[in-house]
Amino acid sequence: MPSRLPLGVLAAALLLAACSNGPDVNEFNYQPEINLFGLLIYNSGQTIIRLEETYRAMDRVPADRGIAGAQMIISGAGQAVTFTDRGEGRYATEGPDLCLQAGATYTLSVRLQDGRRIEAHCTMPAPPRLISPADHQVVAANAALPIAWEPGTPDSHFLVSVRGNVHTYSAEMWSDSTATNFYPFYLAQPDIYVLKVTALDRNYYNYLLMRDDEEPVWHIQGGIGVFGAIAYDERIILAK
Amino acid sequence: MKRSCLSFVAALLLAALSAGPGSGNTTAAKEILASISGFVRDATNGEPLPYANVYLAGTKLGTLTTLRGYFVIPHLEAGRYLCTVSLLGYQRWQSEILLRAGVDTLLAVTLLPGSIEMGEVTKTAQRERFEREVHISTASLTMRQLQLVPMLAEADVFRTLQLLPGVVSRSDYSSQLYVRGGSPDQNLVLLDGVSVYNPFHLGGVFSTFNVDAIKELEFLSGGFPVEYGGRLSSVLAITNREGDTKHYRGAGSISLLSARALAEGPLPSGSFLIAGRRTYFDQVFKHTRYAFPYYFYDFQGKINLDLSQRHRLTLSGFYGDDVLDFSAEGDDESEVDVDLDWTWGNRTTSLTWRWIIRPDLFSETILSRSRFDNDLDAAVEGSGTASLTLNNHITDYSAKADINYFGIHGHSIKAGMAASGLEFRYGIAIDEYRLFAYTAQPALQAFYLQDHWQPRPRLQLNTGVRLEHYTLGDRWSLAPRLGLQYQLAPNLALKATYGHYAQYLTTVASDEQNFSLMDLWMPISKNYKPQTANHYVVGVEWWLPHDLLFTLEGYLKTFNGLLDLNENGIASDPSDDYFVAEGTARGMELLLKRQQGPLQGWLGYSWGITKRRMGQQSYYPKYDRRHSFHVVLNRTLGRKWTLGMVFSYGSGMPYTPKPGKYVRYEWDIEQNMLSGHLVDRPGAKNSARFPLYHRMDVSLRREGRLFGVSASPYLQVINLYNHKNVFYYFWDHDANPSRLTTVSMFPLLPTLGVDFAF
Repeated sequence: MPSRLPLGVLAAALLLAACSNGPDVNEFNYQPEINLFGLLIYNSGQTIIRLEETYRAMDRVPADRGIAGAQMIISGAGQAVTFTDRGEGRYATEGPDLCLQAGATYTLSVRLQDGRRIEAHCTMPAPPRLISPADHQVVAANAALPIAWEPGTPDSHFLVSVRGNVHTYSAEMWSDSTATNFYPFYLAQPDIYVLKVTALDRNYYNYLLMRDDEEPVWHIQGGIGVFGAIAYDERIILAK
Repeated sequence: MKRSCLSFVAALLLAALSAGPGSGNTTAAKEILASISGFVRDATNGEPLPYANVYLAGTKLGTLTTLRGYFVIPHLEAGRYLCTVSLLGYQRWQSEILLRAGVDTLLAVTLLPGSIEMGEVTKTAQRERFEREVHISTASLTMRQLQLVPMLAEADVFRTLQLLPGVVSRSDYSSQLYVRGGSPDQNLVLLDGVSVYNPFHLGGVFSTFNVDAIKELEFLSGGFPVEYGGRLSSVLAITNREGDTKHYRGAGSISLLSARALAEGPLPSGSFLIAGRRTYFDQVFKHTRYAFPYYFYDFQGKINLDLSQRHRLTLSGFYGDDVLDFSAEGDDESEVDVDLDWTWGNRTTSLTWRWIIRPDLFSETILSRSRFDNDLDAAVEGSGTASLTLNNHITDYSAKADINYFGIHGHSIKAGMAASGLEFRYGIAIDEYRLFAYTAQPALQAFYLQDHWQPRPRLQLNTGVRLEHYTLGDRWSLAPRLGLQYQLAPNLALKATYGHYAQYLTTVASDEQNFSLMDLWMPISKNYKPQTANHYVVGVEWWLPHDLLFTLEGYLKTFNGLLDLNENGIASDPSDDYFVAEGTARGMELLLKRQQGPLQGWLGYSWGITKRRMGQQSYYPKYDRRHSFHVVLNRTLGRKWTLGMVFSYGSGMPYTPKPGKYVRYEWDIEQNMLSGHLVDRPGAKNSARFPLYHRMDVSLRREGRLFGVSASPYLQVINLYNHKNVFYYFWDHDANPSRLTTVSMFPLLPTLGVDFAF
C-alpha cells in the first residue's frame, strides 16, 4: 500500500463530506387527507362527529380546520339520518337523533363538495353490567379492588376507568376478560370515585391502542381517523 | 423424527471415537507410528500462541496450533525430523527431533518476539489459517489491533467490529451489531465460552469487554460451525489472556472519562490475571450543569492451574455493573422529591477443564454460570409517597464438553454436547403491590459432530450436524453445516458454506426502536416456533504480495419465524404477544487488509439489501444500509509515533417519514368531553432514508517512558470535521407552523489519555 494512502483517504473523505446532501424531509409529496372522528355513545345516545383536513407537516394550521358543506348520512338499524355542518368541522342532526341499538351495524357516508368521499362502518356493542363493586359500596383506599362485570357482547374489549371527585385523579386499564383488579394506587386517596367499565367496538379499540404507533391502520375508506362506538356501565364507590 | 436424529448423531459419534489412530490410512496402519505434539507459547510471558505454523522441514507434514496453543502431528514414521515453528512477530524456532516408533514426543516450544530476518518468509496467523482451515466469514482481531483503532474514551470491541464489512451500526450512540441483515439479538456473544446476555454499558455506548484483558476475538458473520448454535446471525467469541507465567506485570490507562488497570503474574503451576475499570464522569461533572449521576465498573479475572502435562483447570469470572443513582429535591413548582437507584450488569463464572487424553484426542469441558441482573428502585415523595420496583434476572447454568480427535489421517473431528438450564424472571411492583410477574425456566440441549476432511491437497471440506432440543413446546431442530474450500492457486481459494440455525430466545423490543438501554431477553413460548435462518455464502480469498489480504464474499440469508413484539397484543391471549415475520438478506462484501508493516489496517466495502415481510406488508428494516465503506489505518511514524485513522461512509438508513399532521381526537370517557391535539401523520413504514452518514476519527499515540514505566500518551478525535450525521427527526407541533428539529449523532469529541505498563 503506498504510504500516501492515508492522505488520499483523508482527501477523499473531505470531498465526500463536501458533496453530502442535507435533510430532505420537506420534499415528500404529501396530499392532505380527510380526517374523521365519529363516535356513537350508547348510554347518552350521542353521536360525536368531527370532519377536518390533514395538513402537510410544515404547513400553518388554521384555527378552523373543519371541512364545510359535506353531505353526511349515518344509516343502520332501519334508519338513515342526515348530519349537517355546524361549523368548525362539527356535524350534527337537525331533526331526531340517531337511535342507537346494541348489536346494530352503522354506516357513515360522506361526500365532500369537491367530490371526495369517505365511508366507514361500526357495530354498537351492548353495554356491560357491573357486578362488583356495588353502587355506593364503601371500599378500602390504597388497597387492591377486584372488579367484575358481565359482557353485553361476547369478545368485547373493555376500558376500566376511575375518576376521583375531590382529587380529580383518574386512571384506566384495558381488559379483554370480565374481571380485573385495580392497583392500590388507583384508589390511593379517600374520595368518592366514579368507576366505569366501557365496552368498545373494534374500531375505537384499535384507534386508542394505536396512539403511538408509527404505522396506524385505518378502517375508513378514503380517509383517516375513526368511526367507532362505545357503551358503558358505571358505579359510584366510596374509598375510605 | 426425534429417534432417527438421535440415532444418526450417536452413530456418527461412535464411528468417530471408535476409530483408532491410523484408521483410514491403510499404509500407516501396518506400521507402528509416532507422533509429535505440544504447546507453543510466548517466551516472554508464557501466553499460548494460537495459529502458529508447526511443520517438519523437508516433508509436507504440518499443522497449526489451536486457540490454546496446542498442536499435534500424528501418523509419523520413526526417524529424524527438523521441526520448525513460525509465527509473524516471533523468531523462528527449529529443533531436530528423533521420533521413536510408538512414542509420542511432547514439545514445549517457546517463541521469542522478534523481527523477520532478511529473506525469511513468515506468515500471519490468518494466512496460516487460510492454508489449513475452511475459513470463511471470519475475522480475528488481537488486543493490539483493538487498541490502535480510535474510539470514544477507550478501545472498544463492538465499535471496532462495526467497521468490518457486513456489519451495520444504527447510530453513534449504540455499539450494537447488525450483521448481514440480522438484528442484535441474533448475535451470540461468548466470553471464554460463556454467553453474555447484555454485553453493553450505558445502552450500548460502551461495550462490556475490557480490551486490556483480551487475547483474541473471533467474529463469525455467517456459516458458523456446529459448536455454535442458538443464534441466527453471528458469533463473537472472546478469549481472555491467561496471564504472564514468567513475571508479575501491571498495566493501566487513564483517560478523561475512565481508568483501567490490569495485574498478572505467575502462580505455582499456573498464572493469574485480573483487570478492572471504572468510568468517572459522574465525579468529573458532579458540580457542573452537565452532571450525570451514572458510572459503570467491571472486573474480570482468570486463574490457570496446570495439574499435570495433560490436565489444566481454568477459573474465570466477570463482574460488571452500570449504576444510575439519582436524587432530586422538588422545587416550589413541582414539590416532588425523586430518588432513583438503578443497577444492572452481568456476572459470569466458568470452570474449564482441558484434558489431553491422548496426543491425538483432547477434550475441553466448561461449566459456567452467566447472570444478568437489572434492579430499579424509585421513590417519589410529594403529597404522598410512591415507590416503583422493577427487576429482571436472567440466569444461565451451562455445561459444554468438546472432544477433538486427530487420529484419522486427513480428518479432524470435533464432537460435543451442550446443555443449558435457563431462568428468566421479570417483576414490576408499585408500593410493594406486584403489577407484573413472569418466570420461565426453559432448557436447551445440543449435540454436534463435525469433520474437517482434506481429501485432496487443494480441497478441504467441513461437514457437520447439530441437533438441538428446546423444552418449551418440546422443539427439536436438526441443523446441518457444510463448508468447502478449494485452492485455485497457492494464494487463491474459492470458498462456500451453508448452515441452518435456530434461535429459542428473543428480546422484548421492536426492531424499529432507536435506542434501548438494555436487551430484555425472553424465551420463545410454546405458542411460537423457534426463529430460524439459512446462510448461503460463497467467496474468494486471495493473498497478494506483502501479506495483503483480499476477500470477496456474497451471501444470502433467509429468515423464518422472526418475532417482533406486539405492543398492542391482547393480554389474555399468549399467541398474540408477537408479530411473526419472514425476511431475506443478501449482499456482497469486499475486504482489503494488511496486518504487518508500518502501514496496517483494512478497507471494507459492503453492499446489502435486507427485507422483512410481516403478513402482506413488505418493508426494509431500519438497519437496511445499501452501501457501507470503512477505512481503518494505522501508520507508524518512526519508532515512537503511531497515527490512526478511521473513516466511515454509509448510505442513508430507512425511517418512517412524517410528511403530514392531523388533529387526533379522543373521547374522555370519565369527563364526557372531546379533546384533540396535533400529531404526526406517518407515511409508509421506513419509506424514507436519512442522508448519507460519514465520519472521520483520528488518533495519535506516542510510545515512551515516564517515571521509569512504559507510558503511551494518546490523543483521539472523534468526528474530526464535526459532520452532523442525522440520528432522527422530530416535529414540534406546538409551534405553528410546526418546527423540524434534527437530532445529530456524535459531534467533534477530543479525548486524551495515557496507557502505562510496568
